[in-house]
Amino acid sequence: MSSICDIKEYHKQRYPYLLIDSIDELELGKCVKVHKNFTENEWLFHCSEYSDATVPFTLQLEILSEVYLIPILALEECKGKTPIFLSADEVEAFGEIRPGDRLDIEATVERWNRGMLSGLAKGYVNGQLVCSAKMKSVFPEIMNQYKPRNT
Amino acid sequence: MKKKESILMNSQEIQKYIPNRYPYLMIDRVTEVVPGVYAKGYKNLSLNEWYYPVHFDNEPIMPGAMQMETMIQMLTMAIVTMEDNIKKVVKARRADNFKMKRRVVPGDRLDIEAEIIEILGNEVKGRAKGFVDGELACEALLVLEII
Repeated sequence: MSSICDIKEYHKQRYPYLLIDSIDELELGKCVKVHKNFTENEWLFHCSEYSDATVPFTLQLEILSEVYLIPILALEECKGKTPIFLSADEVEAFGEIRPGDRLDIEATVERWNRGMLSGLAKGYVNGQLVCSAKMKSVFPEIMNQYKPRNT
Repeated sequence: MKKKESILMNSQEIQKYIPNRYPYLMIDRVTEVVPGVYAKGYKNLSLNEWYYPVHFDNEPIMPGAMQMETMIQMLTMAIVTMEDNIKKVVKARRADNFKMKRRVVPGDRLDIEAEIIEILGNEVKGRAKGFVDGELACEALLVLEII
């Protein structure tokens, strides 16, 4: 299990926009399992006048995108490099996430080639699927290495 | 036929319709809305926003999730201005074909156009696009639920 210090080695994001607590399993370049605890003591539960505070849909996407990058960010060739989020598809929220919940996220790399990444992430609360997304990102510094050079 | 109303709402007036507040109110103005049909407006981007210093320190870029939130909130305005939906809460349930075409950085103005495709009971399907200087910056197909 990796600590938040390890997560900060991979992700350049910081509070209040680093939304992972712990890496539980990691297979470089392939897949990862992480979790995030949710507490009333977080800003994201206090940004709406709606009394039933739940994690916003777009922050669920943000969490999934932070997680699915980890197997690639942990590769030696990607350390220190900044990925650019390109697209997401089939982003779904199946249930609500509330203070006191623990979100377990599993992400799988589907394709990693020449700086282009596609993958899938799913989030569970108490074993129930609550969110999922397919995503694509690019690492421009790596992709540019494969561009044809002018002769 | 729905009558086009030229409604200009500032951020205070927007807050009468949607429950979002700082730091998650992601639209500044609504410049045009036909309730139940479409809404247009914009969000100014400033380095003085909470996410830019951490996304990323030396290269501030508007996060994709925030761009999507801007589009969701504009589509929500097209829904909650309908007479039957005033004061109702709307939540996003699904997004497809979400694409980011260019970076959105401090100093930009993100112009959003959101239109309703279909309303089936409590479920609303819509599409939204964001533009910077007339250039497409982001787009998505969205499914929202009226609670």
